[in-house]
Amino acid sequence: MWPGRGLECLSMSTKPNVALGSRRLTLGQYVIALIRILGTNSPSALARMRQVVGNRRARILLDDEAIDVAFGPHGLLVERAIRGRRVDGEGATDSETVLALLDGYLEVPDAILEGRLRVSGAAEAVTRMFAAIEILLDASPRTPGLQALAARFRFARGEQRGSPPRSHRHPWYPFASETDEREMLAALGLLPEVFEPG
Amino acid sequence: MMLYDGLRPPSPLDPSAAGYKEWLHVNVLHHESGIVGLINVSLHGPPMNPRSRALGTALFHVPAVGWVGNIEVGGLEEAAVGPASIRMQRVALAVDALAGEVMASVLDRANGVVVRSRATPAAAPVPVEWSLPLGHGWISWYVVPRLTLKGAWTVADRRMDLEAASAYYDHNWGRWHWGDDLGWEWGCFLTPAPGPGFVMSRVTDRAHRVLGAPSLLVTAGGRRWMFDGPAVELDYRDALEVTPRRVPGAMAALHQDRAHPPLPRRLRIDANNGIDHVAVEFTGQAAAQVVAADPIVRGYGFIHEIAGQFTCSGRLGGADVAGAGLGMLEHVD
Repeated sequence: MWPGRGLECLSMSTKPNVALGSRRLTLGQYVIALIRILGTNSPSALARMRQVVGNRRARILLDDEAIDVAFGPHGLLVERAIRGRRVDGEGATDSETVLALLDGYLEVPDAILEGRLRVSGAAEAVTRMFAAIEILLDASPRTPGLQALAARFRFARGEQRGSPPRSHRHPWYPFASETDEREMLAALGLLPEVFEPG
Repeated sequence: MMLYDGLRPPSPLDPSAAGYKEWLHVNVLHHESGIVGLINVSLHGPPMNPRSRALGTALFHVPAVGWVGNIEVGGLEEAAVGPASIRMQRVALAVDALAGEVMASVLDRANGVVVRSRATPAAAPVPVEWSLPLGHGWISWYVVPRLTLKGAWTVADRRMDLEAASAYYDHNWGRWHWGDDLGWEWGCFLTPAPGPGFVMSRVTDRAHRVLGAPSLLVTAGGRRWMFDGPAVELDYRDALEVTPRRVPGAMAALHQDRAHPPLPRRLRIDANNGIDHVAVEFTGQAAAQVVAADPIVRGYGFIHEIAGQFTCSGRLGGADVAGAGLGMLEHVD
């Protein structure tokens, strides 16, 4: 037995992992649960989200599920997406991408550039969609219920998880920038900051 | 050698308990492969508070491959916390005081890491029991600057014995909130045993403009030297132009503005007390960013781990020292 004093990580025991709901929730059920937990634990965050979203309607597509979401006078409205219905913005991805984002193997800009996260709509609507997601993410460290919901998603859709990448992440641009391009960006102050000793 | 170390949770009457932070931390430096490993289990927020979190981090930089491993986040109440141990589902660290051992266990095949190791001190522990100011709070620590290892790990599908690897252990505890105006710089640099080892540290503000007194702990030839204050100079040079691995993924997604943090590539440490002197030149190769979210108040800290190599030279106790090895530099803001 190793290490031999019962001090190994819990997954080496024969006890089951943390009890997570085993039933696989639909996309609509996840969204309803997210907003309900946010409203219960952080009403001010939900109020900010409602202010950001206003009366806009968004379509969310995950794998083969599609829903339309909006805030109504009495709260969140979640409906099955109907072709032809007007929406202000649309976001589409798959469970593998969501799991890669949660695992830190994929950054949001890369997901967009690689076509794994497709967002469409007017610029303002897209900005407001991302702002709503940021409000949710920002509340999550102080909201155990949101973390539990993420864990449930991982658990229920774990078989859709891809293998961790075994190499350095490639920059999206497969070629180096030209010297004059870098000089122009530097002159405009658009290059990333470099480390400056304190 | 006994290890007089154990967790220091706050009492129920502690008015600063909301800022409670504590962790056990091990670095494993596998000289033959060049792999630099970090295993850390940490507690954030007061016990009995359902918001409080426990984090288990197992990240390993593998040359020519990149970072392997991940971080797990769970409720503090879900972690098995003992007098000197923190066990999570995938990562655990424990101190056996009587046996004088630090045990690490990682079982995370989904992220390519399995570790089972026991480490025994090869240098005397250094307890820093007093509370060092850190932002509006404080931090204390207990350090074992070098340990010898038994065990093995499988990292990125390669199983390796750890007998020839070097290890470092520390235990930190204190009170602060992530997002406060605080930061620190810390580094652990070990040559293969029985060569010299170095532990550098200083606390800073978040911008790393207000700098605390640096210190450098040196172990060599069974002896120990502590340089601090004006006896230590830190000189950072060049920018580390790499894309860091960032975890947890949800917090990385929230902080896109921190995807390319300004980090140093090189650090030169000069320590001279008028009798003994030593210089360390560290060159970073890769960086990982752990986004630490405070569970009690809204705030975020960014813990950057820079894996790399170093060389050293100097004269200690009348004898010349020189060597090369692996190291981890930590830059927190």
